[in-house]
Amino acid sequence: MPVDEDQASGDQVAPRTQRGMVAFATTQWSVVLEAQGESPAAQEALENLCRTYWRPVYSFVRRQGLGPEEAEDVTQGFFAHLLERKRLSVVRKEKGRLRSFLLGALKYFMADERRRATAIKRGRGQRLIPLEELRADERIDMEPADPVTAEMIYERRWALTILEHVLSRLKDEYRAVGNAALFDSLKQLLPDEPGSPSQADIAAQLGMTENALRQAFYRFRQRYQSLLREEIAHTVATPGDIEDELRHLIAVIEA
Amino acid sequence: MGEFYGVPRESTRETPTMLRVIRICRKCGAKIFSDAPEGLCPRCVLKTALAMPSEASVAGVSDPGGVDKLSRGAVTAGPDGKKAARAAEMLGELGDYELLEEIGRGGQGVVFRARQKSLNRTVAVKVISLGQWASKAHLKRFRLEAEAAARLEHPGIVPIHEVGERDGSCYFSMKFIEGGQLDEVARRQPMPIRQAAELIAKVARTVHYAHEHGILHRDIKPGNILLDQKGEPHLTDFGLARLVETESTVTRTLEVLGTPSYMAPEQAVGNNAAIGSVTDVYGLGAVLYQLLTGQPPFAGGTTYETIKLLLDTEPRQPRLLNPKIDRDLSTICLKCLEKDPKRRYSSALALAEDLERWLRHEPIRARHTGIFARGRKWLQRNPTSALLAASLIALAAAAGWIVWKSEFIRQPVTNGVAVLPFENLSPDPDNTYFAEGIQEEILTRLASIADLKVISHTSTQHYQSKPRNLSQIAKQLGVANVLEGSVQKVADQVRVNVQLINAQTDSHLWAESYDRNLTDMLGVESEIAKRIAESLQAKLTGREEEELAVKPTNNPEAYDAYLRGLAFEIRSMSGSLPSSSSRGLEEKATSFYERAVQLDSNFAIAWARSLAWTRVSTSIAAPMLLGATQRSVLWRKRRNCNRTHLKPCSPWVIINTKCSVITGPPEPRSVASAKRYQAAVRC
Repeated sequence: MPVDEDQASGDQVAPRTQRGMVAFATTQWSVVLEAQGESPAAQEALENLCRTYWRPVYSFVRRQGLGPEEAEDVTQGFFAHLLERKRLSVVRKEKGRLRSFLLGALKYFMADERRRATAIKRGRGQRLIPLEELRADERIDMEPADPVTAEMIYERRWALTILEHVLSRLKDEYRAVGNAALFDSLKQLLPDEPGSPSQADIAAQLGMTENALRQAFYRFRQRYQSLLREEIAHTVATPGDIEDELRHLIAVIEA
Repeated sequence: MGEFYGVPRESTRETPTMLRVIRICRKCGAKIFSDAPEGLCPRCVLKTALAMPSEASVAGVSDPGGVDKLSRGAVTAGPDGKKAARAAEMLGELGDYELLEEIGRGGQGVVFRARQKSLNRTVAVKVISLGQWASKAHLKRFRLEAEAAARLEHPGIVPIHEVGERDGSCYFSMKFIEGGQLDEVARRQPMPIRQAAELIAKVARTVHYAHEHGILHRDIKPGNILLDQKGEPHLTDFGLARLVETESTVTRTLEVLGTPSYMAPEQAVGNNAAIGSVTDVYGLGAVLYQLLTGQPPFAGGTTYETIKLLLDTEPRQPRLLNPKIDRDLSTICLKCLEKDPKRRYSSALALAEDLERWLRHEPIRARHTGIFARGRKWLQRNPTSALLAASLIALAAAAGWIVWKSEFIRQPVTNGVAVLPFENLSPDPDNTYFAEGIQEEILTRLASIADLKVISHTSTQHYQSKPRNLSQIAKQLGVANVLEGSVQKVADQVRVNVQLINAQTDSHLWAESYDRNLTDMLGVESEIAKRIAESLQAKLTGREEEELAVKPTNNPEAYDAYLRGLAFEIRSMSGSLPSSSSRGLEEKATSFYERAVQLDSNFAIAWARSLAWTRVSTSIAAPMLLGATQRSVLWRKRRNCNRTHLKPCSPWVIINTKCSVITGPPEPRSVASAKRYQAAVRC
């Protein structure tokens, strides 16, 4: 279906930050750190973060050898425990990244048999995180079969969750202005994979000129980069950590 | 928390499975699993974001119309790639060649599969841009050197058919090898070790042939080794690196050459004078390393990082990455990767021969580098660091000795435990006494176990209602373990949570939650003390076990009065109180203890505490009621007691430790009470 070139230019796709700048002041994790978990805004920020990043936690728990049901309960219990605590005293000690904090807190939580037992009860009761998103085959395939550690799985899943979240946001932005088809086409150009459809092919397919498509892709990639940095900014303490975290995520995926 | 239920459950997400590979990335060769977002290669997509915004702008908005007629992918290629592809496009059919499809792209240019019209054969055409600095003289030189490389005739070298130039770009046509690049093939299927050795031996002989004809390859890497359908290797791009390097800066060279993972150190530092046939030996070793271990010898996140690794570190032993690798083969590989060119094989032929010896199971010529040789090499590479490290070690040793001698560092006692003040979680703040009493009771029972070192209440009460850094507290108190807990009392229901933590490892040794009626709480302290002793593997004597098993009273009211007394006693011991307040608290404690004794006349500990406080407050010593032997024992135990190290904690000692001075024969308050006391301590 032809795409309107004005739309494809992407000006109204979403409010964009200045090139290379990431709106850091309201970063979620930094809000939590700054308020040390005590303000309502910090609680809400932490809840949002947990809602986004439950999947790495679940993967880690599964890798510990727990069955799907029990792992779900422990995951629910962990987040319930984390969010129910009013003081989040651990946060004071963790001035680092959300990724490390959650993993550390999770290990501590799982080491505590008593809490784990209560967590199972708690998790069964409340269902804080939408674990129903796990499909049946994931439950099967996440059985411990590879010689990879739970930490590696956690880290990899973390990187994928960030990417997934970013692409999902980008997709939503395009979909919101009726450009879903453009998103589906442009995303193929993102990895610059040989053998993918060329810009000319896509332009022809969408009924656009190549020039318009090239500009649309330029904006698409800029927006992707901006969203990715923004999402990473949500999980680190200072803007200086963003680039380093991005490199860490790449290294994790390459491992 | 309700908003968690409102999460939109989009079912558009691909099913994320961990183990199913859906395809291989055509760009980086990585496996793409079914949980990859949008089915894209996560590695390549994330790497896209590494590009700075200014680099991204190369894409086209800043250059409208410049590249829009290009064939695929030109948007994201570097400037050379763009220019090369543009040249191909502008040439249309590039002379005698009809360009059919792009089959490869690198820093140096673009490779097309093409049809040579005059001979009606399929060839590969590589179009290379030499960049904006390329002068006519440079183009001519390129042409001459490419022609020299084209004169190489060897079955292991991809033959060059023709060299040409057009609009600042050079191109040459060569034999089209059906198969693929070595790295692609190796990624699809890991190569057996012997096959890898055979392959590198063949390539080394090919390289030696070129060296004999005065031509260095200078850029040996898996991408430059093509495998035909029979699996035979063919080297391509001979001498090309040098053509591109010439008259360029090191930065430019790195940019053009792309990954320096296979680059020899002398190339990385731009020492052209040191580049020779052994540079290619390094490249061969690097490719062998890749085939054996699945990764290049050095790979950082960026070009700079990789070069830093290359210059500053030794490659990891291949056997560490793949235990199946034979020690001799590992030695051969590492000899190629020596930083000092003189220590490598003197020629590609020498390498080929050593590999062939290994394949025939004969002794190899290369010698294994021992630990001392490796250490020496490190020292040679890092003299400043070595000096600094030696100084630091000497300094650390001296400091360590001083600290050791001064006993500055105390090792925490592994069987030591500090019972921190319990938190009162009861809604009624008046129930604080209950938490304090329970804590004191647990401490008292633990203190009666000789095999445990228990920190006294006096030392731990400072940590009341302060943020707790357990490891710091344990360090200050000189113990490895900390017991913390909370008490919640609502009417007759009591919940006690306790957790024993090894503060050194920050791990939980034991934790338990007790939900009891008040009447059932009696004896819980003993149970907790016993479990702690078990967790710390303390040995209990028969008597200690008996003492722990004794239930202090069966009367809940007496117990409650006793706990209230304990709470007042604890508060009275605070050093910050004026003596009048302290005395008032002591009197309150005494009255509660007496109340407890009234309710249960056999409540021995209540009795003991009552008597002790009575004595302290009236300066009258009590133990004259005891026999001489008992008094002797009491005195001995008193001598062994100190503030921070409570040991036996029988009622006698409780009396004794509370007495500051025993000046003379005590006067019993009444004969009846004395008899009740004696009965109590015996039971």
